[in-house]
Amino acid sequence: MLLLQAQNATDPTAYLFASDKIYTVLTVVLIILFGFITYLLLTNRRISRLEEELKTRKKQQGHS
Amino acid sequence: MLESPRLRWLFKGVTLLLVLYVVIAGLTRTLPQVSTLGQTSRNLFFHVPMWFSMYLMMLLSLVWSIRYLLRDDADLDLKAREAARMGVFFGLLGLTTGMVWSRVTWGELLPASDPYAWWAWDPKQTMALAAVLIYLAYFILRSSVEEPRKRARLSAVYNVFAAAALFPLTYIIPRTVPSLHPGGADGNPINFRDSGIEYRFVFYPAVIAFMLLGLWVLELRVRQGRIQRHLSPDTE
Repeated sequence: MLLLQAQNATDPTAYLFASDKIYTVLTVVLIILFGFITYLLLTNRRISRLEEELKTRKKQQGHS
Repeated sequence: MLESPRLRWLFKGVTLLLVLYVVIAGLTRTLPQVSTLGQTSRNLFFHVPMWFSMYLMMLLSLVWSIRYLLRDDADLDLKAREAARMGVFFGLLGLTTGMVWSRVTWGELLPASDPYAWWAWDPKQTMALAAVLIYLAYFILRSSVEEPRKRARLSAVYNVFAAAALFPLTYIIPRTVPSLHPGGADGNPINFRDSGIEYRFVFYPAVIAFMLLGLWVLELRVRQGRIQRHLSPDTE
């Protein structure tokens, strides 16, 4: 009750309170998911860089 | 693993889109009621795909183990190990998500002594635990053997037995006895298949999505393992 009165009628986050607040759950899960995806992409990039580094080192050793 | 980088990124893009769809649709689409599950029926889209993904990982691990026994290639041993590791990870996720779900929903089906038990000793649940323990033993076996080729051979052979046990333990036995899980021998009231086709619109993509996600992480772990083996060969 108090929450509703305190919120502006055109609160852009009103949807979070709708439908048994499922959209809040969804937002939480999406945040976690995007965090995990970011981790995957960063790890992917780190591994690619290591592979590149190893490849150039191999080449250098081959030539020397 | 797939060789063409463009194809790999296509798979990763599809994976991402599918996972997003499953999460959003799985949580927000209106679904028909299933028994007394209420909104928890949505867990179908997350708990069950864990087990499908585990099956996939263990199958891959088995194939690589058998191929290792046919061709003494340390890379195959590495792939078998990492696939088994991913499988155990999915299995643990399946067990924990299952416990959380069942504590809330099996209440009236459990013995009166503890209707809010975390562990119900349900046949399928217990057999799944047994399967995960069998695969944990695979890793204990690996860490107990020093010599790399002996380690790879022994664990490949063990993997064959572990994989052979997986399906009978987790699928066949639970269907032959009364069970709290759907599919048991006693006509359990919880039945997703008869409740409506709406579940399948999200469930099938969910199985694929988590399998693809598992394959993506597997690929990263294999590449990481190859780098590690390159830097210090013969270590586990």
